[in-house]
Amino acid sequence: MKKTLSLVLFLGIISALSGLCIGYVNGITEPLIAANELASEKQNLELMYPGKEFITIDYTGDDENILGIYEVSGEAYIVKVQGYGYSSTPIVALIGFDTEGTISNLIILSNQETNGYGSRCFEEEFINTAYIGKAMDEDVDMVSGATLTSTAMQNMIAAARNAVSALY
Amino acid sequence: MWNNFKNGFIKENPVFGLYLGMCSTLALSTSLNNAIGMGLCVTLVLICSNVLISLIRKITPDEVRIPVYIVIIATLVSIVEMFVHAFMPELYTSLGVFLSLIVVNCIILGRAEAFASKNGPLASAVDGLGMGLGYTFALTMISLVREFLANMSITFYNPFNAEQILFSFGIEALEPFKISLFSSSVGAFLTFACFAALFAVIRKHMNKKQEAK
Amino acid sequence: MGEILTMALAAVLINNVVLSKFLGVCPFLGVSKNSKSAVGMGLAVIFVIFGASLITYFLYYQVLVKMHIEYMQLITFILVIAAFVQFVEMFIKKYSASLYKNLGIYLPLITTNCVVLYVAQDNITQGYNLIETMTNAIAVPLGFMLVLYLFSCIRERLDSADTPESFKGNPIALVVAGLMALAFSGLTGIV
Repeated sequence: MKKTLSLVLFLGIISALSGLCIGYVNGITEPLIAANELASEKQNLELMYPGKEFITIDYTGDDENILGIYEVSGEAYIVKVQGYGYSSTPIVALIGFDTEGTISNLIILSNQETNGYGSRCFEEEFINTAYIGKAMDEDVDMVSGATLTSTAMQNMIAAARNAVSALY
Repeated sequence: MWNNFKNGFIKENPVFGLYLGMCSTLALSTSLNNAIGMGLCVTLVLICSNVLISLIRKITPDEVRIPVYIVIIATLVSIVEMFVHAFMPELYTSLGVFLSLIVVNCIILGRAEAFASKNGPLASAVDGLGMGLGYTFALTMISLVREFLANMSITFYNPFNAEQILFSFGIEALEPFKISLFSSSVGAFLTFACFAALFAVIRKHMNKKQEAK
Repeated sequence: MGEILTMALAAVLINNVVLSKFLGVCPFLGVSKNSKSAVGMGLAVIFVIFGASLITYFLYYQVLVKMHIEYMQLITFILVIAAFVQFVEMFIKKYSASLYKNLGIYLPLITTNCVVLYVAQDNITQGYNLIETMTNAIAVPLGFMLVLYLFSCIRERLDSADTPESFKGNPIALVVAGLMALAFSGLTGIV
């Protein structure tokens, strides 16, 4: 019994020491990691609105597909949103809204939709005609033959509109 | 001690000779950057774990030694992972899950059990360095072949700043002959198999020479 | 239901742990000398991964997240896995001698099988819920077992093949694994 106790004690002390070490290092690196993540997000935002200042806005709603909201000082909001189409990996997009809530900009950050089918939703020409310039209450177009991906895009835009409309 | 160090490279190369730590070798040999980054992370963890385990080898009760080793290794890996995440975000993304899977890399637990638990801290550190560099060496060799065949060029960027390319080499005339198969899992297995066979030949040759002496 | 099935099928065939993610290659080469031990190892892995995934799932969300010490994830998970394997080994040794004879010998090898830790971590990073976690915890090791079994059948025949001297043993096995990966990559796109 005494032996078991001393064994457990030894393991406990080692674990406690390791916990302390990890906690300490975590304290040093956590702010750096957060700063890095914001910096890499900034790069994507710059693609949409080059040379502007961005402010992160806290999202208070409970839609888990909304990944973040950013304000472009006084002229637009950008919503980072995800949605599930054909693939089990989500489509991630940044959607920009101008002051009236019209979609002014849209870029796809990542997707694993089927090439040649779902991917047609992401062609620049299609994005420019189907999504950009649509006002808050206008429907967006679908691609025939890519129902799942189009529907996912529709849902993402609806979710983003929902999140942004609370800010106006 | 020098012999210990040298053994890690060819005769007892942990990857080609002992077939340890194969998962990460196969997965991360797609590019030179991944290979060197991962190799150095493993080497660092291996040296530290070897030294720590060797230091406490006399007070560690035999019954709980494996859990103790695992705790120490997991701690070191967590720390390395956090530092890489903070200072080399590019490398962190490309190494992905394999960074935390260093914990179950058989090389580390294997050396702890076979060497560090029986030898002093200095010898253990040298053993860790030799084995770690042997692993890095194997990973680099495979990655050179794979990256070149898949892209017909090799680039090496600064891990602290991904935009700064330190070194780049490519043959433009070969550009149309890229074999993208080598960036996939098939290429990994085939390249590894050829290297393993090559090292088997070298080892046999060396053994023969020794016998002749 | 459809989504769950798709997810399971993808994990078994398309994103196979061994052939496309390179996890568990060590036992893949080590325990594939004959098909009987391949099945034994596969079953043991399924059992351990399922148990360990459930425990780590609850531990992460009920303890680590609530105490805000998510950075202790790695160390907690590996300890849980090691302890769980040890416990299962003791349990079946005591209660079922025949099961121990068939599965027991593979159990100590499983702690360092990276698939176990990978599945436990993957459930968390992918943000799976309980049902998805359970599916993942069965499908991934099932894919491992399938490939291990097929591979062992090939290897049994490989012994009598005429291979070049330096390729004997593991190198030729790796070439076979590469060809299997090529065959499995043909399944990409069915889900």
